[in-house]
Amino acid sequence: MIKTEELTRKFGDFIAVDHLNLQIVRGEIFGFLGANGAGKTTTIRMLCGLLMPSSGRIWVNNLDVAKEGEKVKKSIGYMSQRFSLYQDLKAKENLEFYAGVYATPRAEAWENTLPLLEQFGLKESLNMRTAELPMGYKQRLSLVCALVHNPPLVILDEPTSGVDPQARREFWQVINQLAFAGKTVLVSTHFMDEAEYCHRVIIMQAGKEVALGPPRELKQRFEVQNMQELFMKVAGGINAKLK
Amino acid sequence: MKGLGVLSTFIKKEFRQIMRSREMLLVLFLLPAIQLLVMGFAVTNEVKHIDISFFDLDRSIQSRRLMEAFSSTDRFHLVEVGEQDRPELQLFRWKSKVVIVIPAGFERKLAQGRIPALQLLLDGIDGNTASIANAYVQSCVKGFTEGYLRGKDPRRVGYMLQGQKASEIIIQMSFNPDLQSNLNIIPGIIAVLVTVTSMLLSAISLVKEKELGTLEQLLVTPVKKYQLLIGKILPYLLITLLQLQVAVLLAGLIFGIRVAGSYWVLTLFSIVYLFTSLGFGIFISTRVESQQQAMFFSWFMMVIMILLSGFFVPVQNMPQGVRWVSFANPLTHYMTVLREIVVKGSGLMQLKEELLVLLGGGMLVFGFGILSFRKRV
Amino acid sequence: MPNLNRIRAIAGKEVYHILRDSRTLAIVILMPILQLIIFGYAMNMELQNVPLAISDLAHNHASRRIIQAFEQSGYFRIIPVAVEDFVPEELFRQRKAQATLSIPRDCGEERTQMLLKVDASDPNTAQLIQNYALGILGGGAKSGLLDLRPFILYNPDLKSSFFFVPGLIAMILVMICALLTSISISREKEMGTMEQILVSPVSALEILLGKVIPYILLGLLDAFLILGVGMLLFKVPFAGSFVVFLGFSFLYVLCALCLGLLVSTIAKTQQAAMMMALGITLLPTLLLSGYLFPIPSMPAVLQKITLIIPARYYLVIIRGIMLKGNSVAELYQAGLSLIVMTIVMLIVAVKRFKLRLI
Repeated sequence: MIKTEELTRKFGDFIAVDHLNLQIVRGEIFGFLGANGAGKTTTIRMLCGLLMPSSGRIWVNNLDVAKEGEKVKKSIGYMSQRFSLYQDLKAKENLEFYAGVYATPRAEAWENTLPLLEQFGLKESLNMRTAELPMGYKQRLSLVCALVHNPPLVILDEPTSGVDPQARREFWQVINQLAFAGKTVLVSTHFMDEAEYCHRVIIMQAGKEVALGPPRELKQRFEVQNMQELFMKVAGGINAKLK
Repeated sequence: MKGLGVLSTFIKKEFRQIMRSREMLLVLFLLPAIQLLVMGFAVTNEVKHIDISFFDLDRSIQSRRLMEAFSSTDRFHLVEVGEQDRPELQLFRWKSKVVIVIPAGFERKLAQGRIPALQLLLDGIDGNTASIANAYVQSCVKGFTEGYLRGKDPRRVGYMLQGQKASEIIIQMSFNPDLQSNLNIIPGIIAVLVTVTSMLLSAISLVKEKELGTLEQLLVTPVKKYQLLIGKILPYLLITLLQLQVAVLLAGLIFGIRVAGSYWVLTLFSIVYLFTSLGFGIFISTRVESQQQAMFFSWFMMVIMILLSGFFVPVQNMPQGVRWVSFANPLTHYMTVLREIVVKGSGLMQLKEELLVLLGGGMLVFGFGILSFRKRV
Repeated sequence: MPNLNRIRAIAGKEVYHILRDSRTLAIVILMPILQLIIFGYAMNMELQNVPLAISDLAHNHASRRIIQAFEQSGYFRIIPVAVEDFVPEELFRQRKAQATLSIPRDCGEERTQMLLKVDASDPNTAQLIQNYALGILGGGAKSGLLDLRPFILYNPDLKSSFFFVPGLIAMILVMICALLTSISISREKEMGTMEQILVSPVSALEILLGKVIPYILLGLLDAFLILGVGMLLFKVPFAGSFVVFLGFSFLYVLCALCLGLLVSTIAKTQQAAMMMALGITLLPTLLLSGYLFPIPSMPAVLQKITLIIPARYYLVIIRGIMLKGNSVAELYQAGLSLIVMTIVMLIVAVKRFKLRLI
């Protein structure tokens, strides 16, 4: 589904992402872990075609992002770490807007989103202004908007920051359902407990891969009890120094 | 066809956002209406009620009649002077802008056919007002002498004095016989309003979404650059056109100024011009980091554009170098067009050069605006 | 007692904001200078090269003399027009001519009538054209009856820069002190950083002083810059006392700051603050203060409104000091008006500020 080859991005002298090689398969939940500034968001932005790589290549769905970025965008549903829906539009109007942007016929858009809206308890709030929704609901609405065109690849950049634990669990249920339905899900997070839900994770530090694999395997390899310890072991050292 | 669907989605969204924000509606319709009113009344080249004071050292019938010649018009406002006042101090203390000293023996000299000297003091700080006041004084004095001499018809504007063979000059003021300054100013204000609204709206458009984070969300969608930009611009174009109608309507209702030419030609030119001003705004929007910067930049541009557009001072009066800058200023052409259509009723035939310039400039600026927008962060 | 260190901390932060945003800073400094240069060089009321079309049916000595007089005047440029194209209104519409003169066949004989048509769509220009034409044709009608001697005081050459430099200073001080301050306060409110400051042990007075001082300095710097350019480039005089000028300017700056404060207590967002500041500071200062258009010529209602515009008073003050050499005795009334306005606005602003915090 996604393949990167020696993916690198520099901002001036600063190397945000350093020769990253990734291969993500269909139906996988793939987690990006790392401290702030480790290069998670930069990588994700390059995968979406928002940023040009300084060097290296990316294929999404067998399409070269550098050459066919616009085609790639059709197959991606993206939710950024900042809440980015129009606050002055109603929830329904936001959905309609994104359906229109992806040129998804209205009936199809409803088909794609209705089950989720019901599951999230959003159906009753569709006529509310987005600004009036509670934070947790805004986050859910963002996810629904990202799925309005039924994309095979869903990219979520820290989707659960600022959401209460109950809502986070529900959110992950939905992510599991998406993967089960055959979608590839890319999630970045800094909640280590969430990493346990991923099929595979990559731990990044200063733009480099420091560990990559299924959580269980990684725990065994580094002889730790949980992901939190693992993270402290492989990426904690420098982090501690930074503080 | 799919492209059109995406476009209409954008337009619908943009309209919803504007219609829902009370502040925006206020800014779009109430503010321009107030501006039109205030400017329509305040921005005038006419000078009225100039404070004038007389030091009458003669206190005769003729000196009083001279003063009456001034008090009978609304151009001057007579300021009383006390015993202690002195002519220069009247100006120094901001009591009046014009002072006339009538010397003792004024009436006697007049009667004897000797020429009495009147002293006229003008406050030169506002050069424009001073020179107009000077001209008014001359004409009031002329009125007085004509009255004194009677015999001649005071309404005749001038006499050929070269030699004995007097020939009469008839003067006709075309299009604006009463020399109403509103007729010139109001179309100018409308041009300014249209520019201000369209530039501010479009300058804020993209950077606002950047600030709110919604632009990033849009950039990951397969939406095309032109769809995004046209989807933004078309609603602004329509809104500005609507504003133009309101302004034209108000100009007719309140100031009694009707469009002498074709309404459709006016609209056509406005659409062509709006591509330039909206493109300009979009260009600003792609280049700034915050709404605040966008505001400042567009203000900066607008002030320069307005000053060099011939709104206050005709372009032909400016030095050659400035005239070139003024030619490159799209507002200059739009202002000319509006005035020509409203006042003289000119049509496409007379304005074809302006149409070409505006079209060319519009395409240039608009194209530049689109090119400078990258679908990347 | 306000703590100097805290004020310095806040002021320092504000200075960083100003310096970091180099584009805004550039505009704030460049805009007035550019305006000054445009005003000084381009805003010229003197007409030149008025295109004039003449239809000469006489073709005799007298008519040629008239045409020659127009050519040599320097005001007019005679454009050749074929006889069949001599339709004044159409020439005006095509903007080929701004005036037309028809000389009849009997030119040079007794009581002939010449027709001067002027494009009056710009009445001001039309008036000037008429005056020039009459002057050339000798119709100035100098009645030899009275000897009128005009003396123009304070600006004998009627230079427009004398008029604009003080006006620009008044304008820029309002723009920086009212507009920028109100925006910067409402920005902090919008971004939630005001809350952060308010929970710290800083008093409201310290916040205000800290926020406002950098802008006062910036405003004064800008004002001196304009003054310098005006005096060097355009030879604008400074007749009065500099100390008096500083004193009154300080009053005016205070007044503008209170206005900005008032705006920021009303506006919820930056955008609203900008719009309001634009509506109640910039435009009125430009249009209703007497900066560009004389107040006595306005309708009565507008004249009343000008009474509450600070720049109106400051313009009298600054023009008085710079050009007339006025001192406190002539200007105390204007100064008092500024003080009264400052106090009223401050009371309202403080009341509103308190309401918001509780």
